[in-house]
Amino acid sequence: MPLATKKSVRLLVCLLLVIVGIGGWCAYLQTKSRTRKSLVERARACILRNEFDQAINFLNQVGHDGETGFEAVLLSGECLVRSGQLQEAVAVLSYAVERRPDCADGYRWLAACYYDLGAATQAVACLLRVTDLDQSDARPYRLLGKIYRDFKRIDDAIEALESASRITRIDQNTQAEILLELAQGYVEKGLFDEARGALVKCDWISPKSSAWHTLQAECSYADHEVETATRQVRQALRIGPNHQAALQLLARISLENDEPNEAVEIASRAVQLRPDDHKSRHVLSRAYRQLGMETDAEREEERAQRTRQLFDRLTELSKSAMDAPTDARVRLELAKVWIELGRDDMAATWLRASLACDPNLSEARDLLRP
Amino acid sequence: MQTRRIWILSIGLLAAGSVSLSILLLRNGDSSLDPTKPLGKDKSDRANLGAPKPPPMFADFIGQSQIRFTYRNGEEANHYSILESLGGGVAILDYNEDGNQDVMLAGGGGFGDGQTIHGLPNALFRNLGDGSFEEITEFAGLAQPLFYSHGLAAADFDNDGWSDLLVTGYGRVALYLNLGDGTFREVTIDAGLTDTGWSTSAAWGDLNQDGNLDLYIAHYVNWSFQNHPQCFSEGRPDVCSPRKFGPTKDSVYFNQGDGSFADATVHAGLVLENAKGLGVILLDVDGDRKLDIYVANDTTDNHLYRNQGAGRFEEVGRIFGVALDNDGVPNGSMGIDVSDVNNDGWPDILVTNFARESQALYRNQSGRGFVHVSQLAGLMAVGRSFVSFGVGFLDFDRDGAEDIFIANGHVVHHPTDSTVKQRPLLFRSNGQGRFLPVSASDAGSYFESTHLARGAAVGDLDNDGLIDICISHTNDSCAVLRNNSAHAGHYLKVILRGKSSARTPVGAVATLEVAGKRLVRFQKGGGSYLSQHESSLFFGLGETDRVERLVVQWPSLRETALLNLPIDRPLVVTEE
Repeated sequence: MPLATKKSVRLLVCLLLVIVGIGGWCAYLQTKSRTRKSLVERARACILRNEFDQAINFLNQVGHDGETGFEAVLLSGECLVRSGQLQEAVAVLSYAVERRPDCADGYRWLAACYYDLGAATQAVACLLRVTDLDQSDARPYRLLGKIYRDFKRIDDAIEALESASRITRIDQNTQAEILLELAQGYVEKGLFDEARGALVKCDWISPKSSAWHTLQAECSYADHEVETATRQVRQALRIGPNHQAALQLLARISLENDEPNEAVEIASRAVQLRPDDHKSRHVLSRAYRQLGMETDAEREEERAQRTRQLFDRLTELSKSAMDAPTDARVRLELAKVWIELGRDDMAATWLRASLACDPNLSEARDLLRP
Repeated sequence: MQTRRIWILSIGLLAAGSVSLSILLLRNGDSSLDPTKPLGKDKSDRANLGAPKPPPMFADFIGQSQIRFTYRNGEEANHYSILESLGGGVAILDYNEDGNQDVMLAGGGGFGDGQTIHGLPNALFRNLGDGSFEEITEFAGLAQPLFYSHGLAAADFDNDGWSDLLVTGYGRVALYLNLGDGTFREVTIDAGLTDTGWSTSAAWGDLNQDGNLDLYIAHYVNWSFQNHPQCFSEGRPDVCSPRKFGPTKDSVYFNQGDGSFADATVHAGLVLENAKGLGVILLDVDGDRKLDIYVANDTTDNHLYRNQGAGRFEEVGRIFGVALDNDGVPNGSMGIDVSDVNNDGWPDILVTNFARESQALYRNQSGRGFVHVSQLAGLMAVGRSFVSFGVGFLDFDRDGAEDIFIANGHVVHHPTDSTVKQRPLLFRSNGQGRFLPVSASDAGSYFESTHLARGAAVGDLDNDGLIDICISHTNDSCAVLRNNSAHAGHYLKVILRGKSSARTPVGAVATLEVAGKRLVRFQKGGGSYLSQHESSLFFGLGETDRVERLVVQWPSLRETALLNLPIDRPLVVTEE
């Protein structure tokens, strides 16, 4: 074989080897990628079945690099939030948003996480970031509205809910819920014309909710239309006989229009349903006074004041919780106040937040047991 | 061609008109209740769009009146002390008995080196009777600034025929005796007024039924530079909330009838610890012809001291339903005034409150208690952004129903719930317990702009039978608003002079029978915020030009009845 031919064959073989090598490496990479993607898909399936630990197991095998890795980090964060491992979730999601500062989903989950931890300041910061990144999503504005309302920042709540109400790419029911929340904010602020405007925008809902009729009644009452307001609030109670806001309003209307017997009846129902409703208890006390039932009036006034003091205590503790996102004790205290108010649902939320901060806090664990 | 041009021109004009109308309607429709923005047109205005627009109800009178004065709070020292937040008051009084209402304004104070606190001069302006005023502070002997001042309360405490003056403030009060020659003499120590607290509003009234005017002095909180925490708002230094400080007890001084006073706080039973008093009014709430005391407290329960006779009082605020708002929560209450808003003959109480709260209107239930009716009365329809201080019931259009003026302005430098400067509020009464906000454009230019307002007093400054308004602003010139209400009805101005009762017969009730209606006015002690309204009683008569009967019930339990009275003029009624 001539020397030139030999050289050519060798070159050809080398070339073939390189091609085979590259092909093999590509095949390996593709298999690996397929495996990572399949792990992510399997994790997603677990999340759908609320099997968060299993999902995290799959996601841990994916690693952090690349697009798939980032997806895995984000899903891990979601699993941790949804399984109540809030502190771990904060760590994972914070890493995620540090890596991708433009990741709206990362901030969304982080906000949810902070909200569940009672760390409102951090939750608000994350939600505001989401609204910067994704202006088509009404949810962060809505949650902002809720947080601001909880902290009596009604102006900010209204602004957030107004932004939410301007987003049109949401289903009609959600849109109506947002408009009702906005109307509620307006009523709290004393902006009854604006509240009426918001209610008109969702008056296509059928059947109307108790909340809708109650808010209409608030507006009518502010316009001195006592009969209309009474009719509307009664309609609200026909739809939802235990609608707390409707009971509160009807009791107040009765008291202010010299019908103390009816005020006693309605306010009694309200406080029976919600012992922490200090507003109705105050109305009850005033109605008893009008009827000359001084002992009953005194008793209800004392209870109303005690309840109000507990709410003041809640406000103080909530502020402390905002400043200390990892403080288990302050969350436990919040839970205890809610227990005293007879609100086991709210107590359970704070006990879970407390345990998320310190899983070894036995007092919180004991209180959370049914 | 010509026809086409006309068509194009018509369509163009129509389009331009539509755009203009839309803009106009949008503007008018913007009824934003931001305290910096004036109210849009009210419903009655919309109904009268075709009618010629009347002139604004209130016009700036400061230029003509020559009342140029500014209350200073010393904020330039950057202490951010709560002392700076209270502001100053206004008194409308006829100090020289010439039939013209004069104006006194508190001067405030400032801070020196080493956290010292000093006062600034108050000012007295004499009404010259031609619509102008002349400052006579120096001549009257009132120029010496004694302390950091806030409030003013005028009454003839020694029954000598001349209105005397009390000034409140930080660390002491000053009682000025009117000598009747246009001058005053400070008699505080001689009179036994040893008050050293931080005093705010004060009220004169005969609390122990001895024919002499006693004195109630409200006290605020226990702030001093030794108790001066650093507070922040939005991360910046700011004035602390009153919640950061402890309360201080109010004081009551009984007039001995010899020019001196005795501290009767303990004797009267006014020993409540949880009060941060800013406003006070004396009136008979339960119809027993004895003066009761109502105190507006900041962030704590408002107190109603019911007069049990013999100079003793019992606190019944919660029992009577005037301690809390309609949710059962104590408000940040500042100013007070009283009127019979629903024409049932009983005094109803209006209290001005902090932002996120509403003005509280407590309707009197025939002396058995009160019901909070702000929403029903329409007072909540302006939103909850206002930090409200001075307040006055005034029948500005003389239709027989007393309307409401409220002065507003925030207390902190960086509020999160509202703005620092705020516009004032004017409500028109329908005579049946319902109030509608008057649009700023109808009310006048003062109502279209924002102010840091505090004390306010109402009275007829130009003797035209229309009630004018004077307002004190912190660190800005005071405002004098002349009532220009067009087509205002007839009126009767009643000046009561006691004989067996104190010469200023606080607690007297005047009932006017006119055109089948009964209009009731109360001779009040104190009221508004740090201020003193003109003490005359105004009855708007509307179109009616004949008054059938006027009955005055005096604090001495005597009664005076007068028939067929002249109208559109002042009428002095002296106790027989």
